[in-house]
Order: sequence, then structure tokens, then C-alpha cells
Amino acid sequence: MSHVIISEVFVTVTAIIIVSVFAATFLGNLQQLRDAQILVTQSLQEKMSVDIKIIYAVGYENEDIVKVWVKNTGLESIPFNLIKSGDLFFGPSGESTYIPYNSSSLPTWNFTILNDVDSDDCWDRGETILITIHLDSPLSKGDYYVRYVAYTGEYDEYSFSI
Amino acid sequence: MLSSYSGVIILAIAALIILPVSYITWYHNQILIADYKDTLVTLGNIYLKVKSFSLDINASTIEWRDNKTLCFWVLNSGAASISVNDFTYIDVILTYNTSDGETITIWVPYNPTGNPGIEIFWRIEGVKVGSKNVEIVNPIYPSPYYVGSKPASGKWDPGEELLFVIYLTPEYSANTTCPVAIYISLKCGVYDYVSRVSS
Repeated sequence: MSHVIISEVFVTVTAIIIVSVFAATFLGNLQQLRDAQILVTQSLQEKMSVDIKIIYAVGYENEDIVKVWVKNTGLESIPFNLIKSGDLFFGPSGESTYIPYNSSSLPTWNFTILNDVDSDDCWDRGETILITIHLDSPLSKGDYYVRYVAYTGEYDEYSFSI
Repeated sequence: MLSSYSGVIILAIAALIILPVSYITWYHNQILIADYKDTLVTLGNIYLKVKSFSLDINASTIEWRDNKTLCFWVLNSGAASISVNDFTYIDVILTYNTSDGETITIWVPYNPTGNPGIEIFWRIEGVKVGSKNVEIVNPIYPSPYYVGSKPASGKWDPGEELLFVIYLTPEYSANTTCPVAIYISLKCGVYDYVSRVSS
């Protein structure tokens, strides 16, 4: 009888351990899955919050200035200092290079907020900035490419020909 | 004695563990579904909003009144109305030849009370539905025909055409025989672009 009881206890303890291990594993994986999904959701929300669109860019032959108009089509305002934190790339198609902001040497770029409706010095939703790129050599005929990357990594690109 | 109840005990213990696990699983799913729902609703709203907007510059109406005034009609070809208060977010970019023979591109600000000849700006000076110069839905007040006054209320509704008029200053006066290109972008980034020789 005693060995039967010992067996029953053994089976019971084994069953408890198996179910506990299953529960711990299942819950752990579930938590990881949830964390991953939350990250994806937050990433999506962040992408929606900051969104920009290059609406037009132009440059002319033998001139060393390129004008780029960029619109804030996202949900959030971008403060003045964070506009400067954006990265700008410009150059002939396939040969674009990084252009530093407000550098003492050429090439460089700066910007103005064109329609700062509430005069808060922020690039609000729907507002447009004019990015002026000052080049170190005049433009010649060809295809050109510009990309502006916002501080969050969101970017837009535009191509035009001269 | 224990032997006859061991199966029941095991089942009871298993149930005690599985039930909370099931509840926690269900709870987590609810949170995930709520997160997804919020994100999808926001995404859907943005998508629908952007898809709802559309505009169409009527290229055949592009006309220089004189070498400092360009006018053309623009149709709201979308499914959404645009408040007059959002006109300030509309980008009008004009490429043309100046009277000096230089090709330039300028961004033109909206200014319903601007001074023609003194500053560069655009404003609306007319509204029509089809061929009728009337506006039934959400009328713009004061009417665009009262030029020089700032529209205080009203909407640019689907199917309505607005007369856009761009005023240039003497130093930016145009060679009216050369082609012009007009780019207009709404607040959400939806745009239209035309290029033609004005009549």
C-alpha cells in the first residue's frame, strides 16, 4: 500500500511540475510576444507622428543654389532645433552626399519656416519650410537627387532634372 | 483512499494552474487587440483623409491678366471640404520667366488682404460650381468676390472651383509669352501640378 501511495504522490508532484513548467514557458513567450507587438505598435505610432514630404525642389544650370520645399504632413510639430538635427543629402543621381547644416564652408544648407501661422517657431502640421542648399560648384545639366531625413529617421526624397 | 482521489487531485491542480493562465492569456489578448485597434483606427483615419483630398488645376484657364497678375481656376476634385482657415497652409509654387528673361521659382504666400503690386501673394477672387457663380454648400463669407477681405468662414467643398489669383511685384514681373508651371499642395500634402503656355 505504501508503495502505491508513494507512486501516487510521485505522479501528482510530476504532474504539478509539468503543468508549472508549461505555464511558465507559455506565459514567458506570451509576454515576449506582447512586448514585440507593443514595440511594433509604438514604432507605427512614431512613424505617423513625424512625417514629412518634399513637395518641390528646383535648381538652375550654372547656379549654385538649390531650393527644396518640405511640408510637415505628420501629426506632431517639429521644434526649430530639431529641424536642424535633420540630415540632408544632395547631389547628382547616384552620387548624392551628406550636406552639413549651417557650415562655414560649402556646401551647406539652412532653412526658413515659410508659413509659421502661429509664430511659435515650430514646424507645425501643414506648414512648409524652405531649405536652401548652397553648393560649392554651379549646377550643370543632369538629374539630381535630394533626401531630407527628420530627426526620427523618417525621410522623403525627390528627384529633379536640369 | 488517496489512490481513488489522485486523478481528481491532479485534475484540480491542473485546473487551478490552467485557469489563471487562460485568464492572463485572454487579458493580454485584449490589451493587444486594443493597441492594434487604436493604431489601425489612426492609420485608417489618416489614409481616408489623405485619400479624400484631391485638387485639379484647370490648365486651360491659366491666364496672365497683366505681367504681374496670374489667374486660374482650381477644382476641389476630392471628397472632403477644405476650411478657408486652412488656406494659409496651401502651398502655391510658381515657375515662370521674368521680364528680364530669367527663369525663377517662387513660393507664393496666401494673403487675402495683400496689396497688389506691393507684395507677392495669392488669394481667391471667385467661386463657382460648374458654370454657375454660386455656392450653395458651406458658403465662403465674405464672398471671394469681395476682394481684399479675409474669408472668415466657409469651406471649399467638393465640386467647387476657386479662382486663384497670384500677384507679383514689379521687380518680379513676368514675360507672359513664356510657359508657366504651377504647383499647389494642400495641408495634407496632396498636390496638383500643371505646366503650360498661358493664353
